[in-house]
Amino acid sequence: MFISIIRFWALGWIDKLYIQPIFFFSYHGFEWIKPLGSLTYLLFFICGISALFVAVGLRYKWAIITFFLSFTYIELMDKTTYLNHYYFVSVLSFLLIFLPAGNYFSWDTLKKPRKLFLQIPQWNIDAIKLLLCIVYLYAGLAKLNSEWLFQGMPLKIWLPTKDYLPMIGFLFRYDWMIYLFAWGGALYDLIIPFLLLNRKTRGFGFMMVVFFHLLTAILFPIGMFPYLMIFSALIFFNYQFHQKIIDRLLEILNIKNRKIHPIQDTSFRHSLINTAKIIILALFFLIQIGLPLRYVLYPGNLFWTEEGYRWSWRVMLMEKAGLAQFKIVDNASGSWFYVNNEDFLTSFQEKQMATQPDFILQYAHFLNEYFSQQGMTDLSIFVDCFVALNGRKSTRYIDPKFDLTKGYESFAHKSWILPFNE
Amino acid sequence: MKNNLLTLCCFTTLSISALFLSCSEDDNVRLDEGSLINQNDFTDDQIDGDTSDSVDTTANDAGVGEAFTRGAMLVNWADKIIIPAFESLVKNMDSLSLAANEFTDTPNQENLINLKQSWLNAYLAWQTVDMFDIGMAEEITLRNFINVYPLDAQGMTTTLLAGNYDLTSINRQDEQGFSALDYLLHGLGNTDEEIIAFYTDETNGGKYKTFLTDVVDRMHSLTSIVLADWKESYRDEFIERDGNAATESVNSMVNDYIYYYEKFLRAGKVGIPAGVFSNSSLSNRVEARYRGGVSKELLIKALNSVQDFFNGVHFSQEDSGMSLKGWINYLEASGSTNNLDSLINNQFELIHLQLENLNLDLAQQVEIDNIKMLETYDILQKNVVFMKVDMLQLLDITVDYVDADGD
Repeated sequence: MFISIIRFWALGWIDKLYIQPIFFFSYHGFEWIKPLGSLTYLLFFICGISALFVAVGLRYKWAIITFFLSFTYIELMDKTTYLNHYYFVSVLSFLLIFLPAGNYFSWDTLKKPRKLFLQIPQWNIDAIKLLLCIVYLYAGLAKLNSEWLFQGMPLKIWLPTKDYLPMIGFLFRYDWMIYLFAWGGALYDLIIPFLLLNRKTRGFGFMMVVFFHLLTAILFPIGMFPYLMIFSALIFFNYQFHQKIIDRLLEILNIKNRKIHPIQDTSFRHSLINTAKIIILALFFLIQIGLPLRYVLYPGNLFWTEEGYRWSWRVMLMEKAGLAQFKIVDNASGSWFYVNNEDFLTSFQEKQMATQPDFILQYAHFLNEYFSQQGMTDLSIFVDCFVALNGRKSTRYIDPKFDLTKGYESFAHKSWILPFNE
Repeated sequence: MKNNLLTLCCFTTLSISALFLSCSEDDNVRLDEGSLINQNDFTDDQIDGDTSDSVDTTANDAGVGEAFTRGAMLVNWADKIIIPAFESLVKNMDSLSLAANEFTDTPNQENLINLKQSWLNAYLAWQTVDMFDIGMAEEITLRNFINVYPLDAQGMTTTLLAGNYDLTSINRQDEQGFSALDYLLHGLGNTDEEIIAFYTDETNGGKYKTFLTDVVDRMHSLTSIVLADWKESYRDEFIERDGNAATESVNSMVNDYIYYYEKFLRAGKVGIPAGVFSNSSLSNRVEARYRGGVSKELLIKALNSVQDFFNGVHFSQEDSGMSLKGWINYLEASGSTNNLDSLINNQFELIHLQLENLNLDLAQQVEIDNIKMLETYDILQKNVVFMKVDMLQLLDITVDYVDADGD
C-alpha cells in the first residue's frame, strides 16, 4: 500500500485528480468531504506512512485506524475515481481494525512480547475469508447476464484491440476466444471461493488465482488490484504454510528468529469489548451482503441507470461512453448558451460525468450555483446527453426537457433518465 | 485455535508486506502494459538486428493478409494524406513568400491582389493539415502560431510600430499567422489604395513591410520544419507505433482528429461566432473576418478534409486507402450492425446540405439569420456524438489526457 501511494504521487495523480479540478463530485451523504488543497499531499503522506506501519506491525491498532480513515477520506473526495479496488482496500482495512493482526509477526511483539498472542478465535480468520468469498461470489453473480455470457460484451470491445500483445495477441481475433474469456471469468469467480475453502483443491485454486489475476493485469489497466487479490487469497492456507513463509522471510532479512516464547498463552476472553466487536462485524457483513442486492429495488436496466451499481463488486461489466451538452437558459431574458465542460471539469471527470445520472445532476447544480453568482439568478438547466452502452448505437440518455435545477439527489429512482431500449 | 492466530497474523503481515513488494512489481507490469510494444518498437528502432518476439508478431500479423491492420492504416495516413497535405501547404507558402516579397519590393495594386490570392490559397491549404496536430506540429504548437483568431489587431499594430518584437513569444500568438495577414492585406483600409498607402508611408511604411515579411517568413519556416520532420524521421516512428495503447500513433491521431473536429471546426468556425457558448452572438469571431466572404469556403475545405481523412481518401483525391471507415467495417464485421461508418458519412452529407443554406460570409449569416448557424452547430454536434461516443467505443480508444486505473 505504501508503494501504491508513492506511485500515485509520482505519477502526478494527486495534482491531476485532487488539486487541479475546480469542482468535485461528492458522494450523496458525504458532501462534507472535500479535497484539502495542498494539504491533500499531507493526507497522502499520512496514508502512506500508516500503511508502512501496518506492514511492519508497528503500533498496529493506531496505524490501521489511521490508514482506514485517511484512505477512505481520499476515496470519498471525488467519486470520479471510484473503483471497486479502492473500495475493497477500504473495506478490508475496516475489517482489520477489529482483528488482532498485529500480534504475532510484527514490530510491536518484538518490543512488547506481552502483546504476543498465539491464539485467536477462528472467526477472526473466517471474517476475512468471508469477505473474500462475498467479493468473488458477487462479482461472479454479476457476470451472469445475457450481455456478458451471450453477447460477449464488453469483452468483445476490449479484447480484439489487444491483438498486438506478444504470444497471445492473435487469439483475440477469434470470437470463441472472447466467449471463452467471458464464461471462464464468470465460472472462475463463482467457484474459486469453494476451491480455496476446500483443503484438497486449495493448491489448484491458488494457482488459478495467480493465473487469472496475472492475465487480467496484462490485459487491462487495473493497477495493483490483481496483486492485492493474489496475496489476499493466501489467507485460505493453513498456519504451517504461513509459518514457513515467515521463517523464510526472517532468513532473508537475516534476523535471528528469537524463539518466540509467548508470555500469555491465554485465548481471548469474552469481554464486553469483544462482544461489541462481534456485533459491529455482524452488522458490517449484513451490509456487505445486502448492499450489492439493492439494485433490485430500482426499476429499469441496472447498467443503463447505474442506480445501485456502485459498492457491489460489479467489475469490468460494461463499456459505456457518453457525451453531455448542457444548455443554460436564462428565464429572465430567454437567452441561452451551451456550457463548455472543459472550463469546469477535467476530461476524466467529463467522461465519467456523461454516463452517470448522479454526476450529471450534481454538475448541473454546480453550474446553477456558478452562474447565479455571475448574476443570472433565474436559470433552467437542460442536458442533451447521448450514451452508448456495450457497443450499442448511442441513444439519448436524459430527458432533454427536464430542468435539472428542479431535480434533487436522493436514493430514490430518477424518473428523468430515459428508459433503456434494447 | 493456536493455528488460527498464527495464520491471521501471518496473513496481514504477509499480505501487506508482500503487497509492498508486489506494488513495485505492479508498476513494472503497468508500465509494460502501456508501453510494451512501445518499448519493443523503440529497441527495434534503434537496434535493427535485435528483433524481439513481440515486434515479430506484430509484423507478421500485418502480413497475414487480414482485411485490416492498423499498420496499413498508418502508412496510408502518413504517405497518402498527411505528408502530401503538408507538401501542398509548404508549396503554397513558397508562393505566398514570393508574392509577399514582390509586394514589399513594389507595393502596387497588382502585387497586392496577387498576394491576397496567395494568402487565400495558403489558408485553404492550411485547412487540410490543421487536424494533424501530432509529432513536430504538436511539439512546436504549430496551430497556435499559424491560425489563432480573433486577431488582437490593436496589439499587433503596437508591436509592429514598436519594432524589435519576438514572434516566438506566446504573448504574440494572436498577433501573427493567417489572421494577421488577413488584417494587413484587407483590414487596414477600405480600398486597395488605402491599404497600399500604409506600405508606402514615409515614416511607417518600412515597419509594415518588415512585419509583413516577418510574419510570412515565420509561417513559411514553421510549416517547412514540420514537413521536413515528417519526411526525415517522424514518418517511420509514426507507422511503427501501430499498437492500440494510449501512447501509440493510432490512438493519439484519432484523439487529435476528434479534438480538432470538436474544438476547432465545430466550436471555432461555427459555434463561437453563433454564440452558443456566450449570451450573444459574436459575428466578429469568424475566420478571415477582414477579407469577408471566404469563411464558408474555409469551413467547407476543413470539413472535406475531415471527411476524407475518415474515409481514407488520398490527398490527391485519386484513390483511397485504409482509414477509420475501413477499421469500423472490419470491427463491425463480427457482430455489430450499427453501420457506424454510414451514420457518420450520412451526417457529413447533412452538414454539407445545411452549409448550402448559409451565406458565403458566416459573419453575415450570424447577423442576418443566426438560427441557421445554430442549426449548423447542432448538426455538426451530432457527429461529435457518433465519433466520440460510438466510434471511440467501437475502436476501444480512450479519450486521452488522463491515465487513471480502470476497474
